Amino acid sequence: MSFCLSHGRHHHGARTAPQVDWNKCKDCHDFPCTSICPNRAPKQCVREYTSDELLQILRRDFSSWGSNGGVTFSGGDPITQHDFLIEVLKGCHKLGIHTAIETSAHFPREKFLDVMQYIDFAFIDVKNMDSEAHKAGTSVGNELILDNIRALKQSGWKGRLVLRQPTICGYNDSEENAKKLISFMKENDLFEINLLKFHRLGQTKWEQLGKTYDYATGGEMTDEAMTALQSLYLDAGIACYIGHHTSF
Amino acid sequence: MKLQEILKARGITDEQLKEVQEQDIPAAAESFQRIMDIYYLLKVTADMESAYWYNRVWWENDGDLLEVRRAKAVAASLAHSTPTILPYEKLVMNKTKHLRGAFPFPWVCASFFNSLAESLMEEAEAPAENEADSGSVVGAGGGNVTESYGEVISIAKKFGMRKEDIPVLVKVSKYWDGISVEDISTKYAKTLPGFEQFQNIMDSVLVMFDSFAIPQGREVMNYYMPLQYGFDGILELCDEKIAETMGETGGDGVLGMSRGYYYAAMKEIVKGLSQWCENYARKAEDLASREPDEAYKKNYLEIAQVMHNIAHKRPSTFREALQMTLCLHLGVVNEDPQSGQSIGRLGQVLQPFYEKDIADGTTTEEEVVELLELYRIKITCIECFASAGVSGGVLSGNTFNNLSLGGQNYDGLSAVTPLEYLIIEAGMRAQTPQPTLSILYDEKLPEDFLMKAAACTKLGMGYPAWMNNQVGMNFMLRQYDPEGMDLYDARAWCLGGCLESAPGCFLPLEYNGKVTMIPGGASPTCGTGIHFTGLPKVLELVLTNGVDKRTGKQVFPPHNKKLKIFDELLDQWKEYLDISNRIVNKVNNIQMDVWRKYNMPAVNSLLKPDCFKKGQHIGNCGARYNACINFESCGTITFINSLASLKKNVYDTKKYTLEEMTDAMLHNFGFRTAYDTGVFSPDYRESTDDAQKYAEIFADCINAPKYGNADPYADQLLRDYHMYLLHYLPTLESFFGKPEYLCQISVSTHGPQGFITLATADGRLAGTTYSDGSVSAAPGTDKNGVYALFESATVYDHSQNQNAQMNLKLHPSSVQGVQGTRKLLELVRTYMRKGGFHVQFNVVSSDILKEAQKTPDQYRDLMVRVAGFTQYWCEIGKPIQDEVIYRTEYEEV
Amino acid sequence: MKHVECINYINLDCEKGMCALSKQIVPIDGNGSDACGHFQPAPVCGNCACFADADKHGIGTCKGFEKENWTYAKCGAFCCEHYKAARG
Repeated sequence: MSFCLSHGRHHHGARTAPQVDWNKCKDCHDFPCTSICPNRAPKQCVREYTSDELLQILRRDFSSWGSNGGVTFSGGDPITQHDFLIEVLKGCHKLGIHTAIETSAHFPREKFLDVMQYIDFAFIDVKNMDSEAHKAGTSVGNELILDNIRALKQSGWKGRLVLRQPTICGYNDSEENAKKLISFMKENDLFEINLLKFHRLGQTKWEQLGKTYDYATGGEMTDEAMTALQSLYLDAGIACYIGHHTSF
Repeated sequence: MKLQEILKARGITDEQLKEVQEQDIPAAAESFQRIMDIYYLLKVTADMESAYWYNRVWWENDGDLLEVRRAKAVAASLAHSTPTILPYEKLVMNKTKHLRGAFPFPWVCASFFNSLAESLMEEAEAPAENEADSGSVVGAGGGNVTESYGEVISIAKKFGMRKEDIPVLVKVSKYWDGISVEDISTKYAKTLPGFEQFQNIMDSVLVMFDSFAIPQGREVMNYYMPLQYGFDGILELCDEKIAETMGETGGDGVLGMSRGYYYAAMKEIVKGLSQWCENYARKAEDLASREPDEAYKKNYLEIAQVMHNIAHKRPSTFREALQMTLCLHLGVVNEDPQSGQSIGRLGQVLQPFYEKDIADGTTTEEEVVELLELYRIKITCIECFASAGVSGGVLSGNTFNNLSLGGQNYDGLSAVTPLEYLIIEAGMRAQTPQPTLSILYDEKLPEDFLMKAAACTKLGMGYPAWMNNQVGMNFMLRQYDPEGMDLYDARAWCLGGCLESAPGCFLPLEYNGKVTMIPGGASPTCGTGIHFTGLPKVLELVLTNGVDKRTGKQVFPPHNKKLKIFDELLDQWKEYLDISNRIVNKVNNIQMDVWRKYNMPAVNSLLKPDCFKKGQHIGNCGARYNACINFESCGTITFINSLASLKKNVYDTKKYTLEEMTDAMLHNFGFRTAYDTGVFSPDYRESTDDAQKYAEIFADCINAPKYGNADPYADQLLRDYHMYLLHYLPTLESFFGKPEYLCQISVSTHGPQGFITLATADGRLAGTTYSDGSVSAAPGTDKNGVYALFESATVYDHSQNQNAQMNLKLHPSSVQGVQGTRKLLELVRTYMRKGGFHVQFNVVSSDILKEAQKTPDQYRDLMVRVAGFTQYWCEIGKPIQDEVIYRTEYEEV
Repeated sequence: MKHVECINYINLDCEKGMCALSKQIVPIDGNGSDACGHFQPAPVCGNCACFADADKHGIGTCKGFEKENWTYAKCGAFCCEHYKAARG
């Protein structure tokens, strides 16, 4: 058995980090390197399931979630696996499992609405109300997202929608942005937003994948600034939560 | 608040928002803090006062009836113990004159001291070193005296004894040379045809524990008698009983006559207990007489009043009642080397006293919390003097005085009392390893109580642990049915020791103008028998044809079988286990029988129902339930995972022969052994030249199905194992003439027993710890999340056994805030709903633990949960530290 | 005269105690172990009128009880029913 880790069999005693050849790794499917280390130093982060396999696990764990439990589809963005997602969602509804999704909503209208009809609770990120700025930060404009939200509300969808904004200093923390977002929410009868103070918890994952993390410096928000933003929303009659202090 | 108004208008409940702010935990009382400041500096100390007086009075009564002679000796040891009272204390009494004190019991086990006599005398007579060396440093080891220094001699690497006490220790021990419980039982054990087999087993550490080492404990205290009658009242009852029974058999030609002698003995022990209290009263008055400060003086005089009252009368306040229970507890732990003498459901026992004082306005909640905080220090100070192997190896220095909360009351309703909230509160404010708290989880318990308990678990001290009340009750009904266990008594069960379900009963306490049914223990020890059998080691011996390759000794007769099919392998394992059990059981029966004849409990025989009713001490089956002796396993999951690997790699895929697998294990899969490197950490691997040769087989062992992943391949083996033991173990009979059963707590023996076990087929390397607990996954092998682990753990009915043990490590960030508390409670509830018996948590990050390992001085107060108890990090051994660090840490729940 | 021999000495462990008057922690041995002017002897067998014939280890005879027996000089005697202070 051979491994593509450049050190071959790595020695824990030696405390040297194994080097990964990402070119080889890209085309690999069975990742033998992850099975040799019982400490899971190299760890396979993804795994393929059929929708039946996944549903079987959900059914098993259903009894473990308590009365407020359910399943949250997250990502990446789960709608990228549209067909698979629909199969699993249908199964969840049959079992009576509450469903939630975290999505960018940046998908063609029908695909998006197709998924959403099986969703009880949704988080959608609105990162910036200025389309140019949105594009600068995420590489796409915000029009499709905002349109999808409008369409969702008009479709008679009965679920609960909470908007989310990772709040980054100098990017989307302005009063102007908040006011635009407030009026968008008012227009669409949305009343909940969750502001998430910028953090760097994702940094290690970027590094593990051998990529550069663009937000290594800057962007920090103070608690005071977060509270100030929160009161703008509250004054407008919008339930604004900061961080994990939420009602869900 | 605006946010709530907005949500309310939208019809969303704001329940969770209301309490998003977690309440700050108030600081512990000043008295607690002052005593803890001293506690952290304390050395664990042994002295000879109690042992001297026991020995003196025992021999002065040579020729008296044994139960009376024994009671007199125990009474004398209590009544002559110099009282120590600190100016900041409100609750008083210690085991000895030292705060973390203990004393040796040479009448139980003398060989340890007698074999050391010469070297101890030499050490004691050596001139003191220079004065600069006479101090010691607190740091690694905490309060343990691991080395001799100055005028202090280290015994068992744990206790410090002053040099001037050594000649007394040596002199007292000599009296018992050849006649201690150990000596007498060994003498008769040697007449067994299989004694050599027994010795081989013990030498290999396949089984690691003699029953006489800690013959009491792993049971629950019963405080009823003195709470109901007071010591003077009991003396009167004894006289009545003597008049009634002395000289009569009551129809029992064997034990009937003993009744009169029992009551005579009880008079002696009650007088001793009473005098002990009176001595504390006198000492408090003595200190008050010389105390210049009015506040301290007043405090001393209050203590004197309390101690004088309880020396004679039944308690009439909460404080007196709590002090009385402490006195009884210390009295029991002073009559034998013991661990796991559990407090039981104290908050239910003392509720009537608390209720009255609060109603009368004579105390406040805060005063009660302060007393409960001080109580925590008292229990934390309980030390056990046993041999090095027991103190360090088995107990990790903890004496497991468990306090249970919740469960059901006599009427089958939630037993939670207002006082129990305060016990948890005290545990949150005053963080000490003992008493550890156990929640008897029942669907009937109030949610706010469970939330409070979960909030406490979150703080990272490892308590409360969570036990399933219904599973516990079912076990009681199953195990004790032949002795008349009914639903009422089943409701009174709780934890004895760290995790030993122990039977109880309710008794009617008349207080405050009403009758309250209070729970308490109703059996002797539920934790002696065949103790700590290393299941993976038995499997190793199957593969090596009975030879312990570590020592080269033939432990079991060679089986000479090819083991061509899996069932043949398993059958051989069962055969070796049975050889071991049959002989070890006989030897332990002899040990416990000699113990009960010469060393029968005195204090405990007063307290345990129905001893006083029957007029029989615990040794004569005086207690209500006696089918309490058991078989204790160690390394269950390491064993199951090893079986799974052998089944897969040898019998299913047939990729390797059994010989190839055995060869790889004997060569430690090509890694240097921990014996060689001195590093016992489970994640440390250093290759040898053979490494490449075994790389593939090692990978296949690591990748074989593992328990804890909801994989039926491995889980089915666990189920089969349990179904087998369920029917097999009762074929073993205890010295009480009752069937035995399965107890599954490794305590900390997974360290020493892992040490003597070579590499196992699951990929665990030689010498490293076994998996801890009985249903915890082996570290790092549970890869499918916690629900999958729960699924695996509950593939059999946990009420088949005395316990099952699940240790989880959570990262603190996973349970932040009130939402986090809810999540933790949901996690517990999930496991309980599936029928899981026990789950406990370490909520401390591995990073901090690693840091604490490097700089123990800076983490003197850091506590972790080990196998069923909480202990200071710095006072547990390194292999166990490594194991705790290495446990899978769940970052999300 | 040492702290440890004083009636005001409160036992803590094998190397130290507390002075009941000053509330200070005091060592049994070495620097700072000498008693102060408030010293009064504590009741131990070695200070008892019934104690006799101590050997080099401090083990001697207790004549205070009905049956004579051996005891040791440092044995605490606060709780002894027959303790009689040898001095004053």
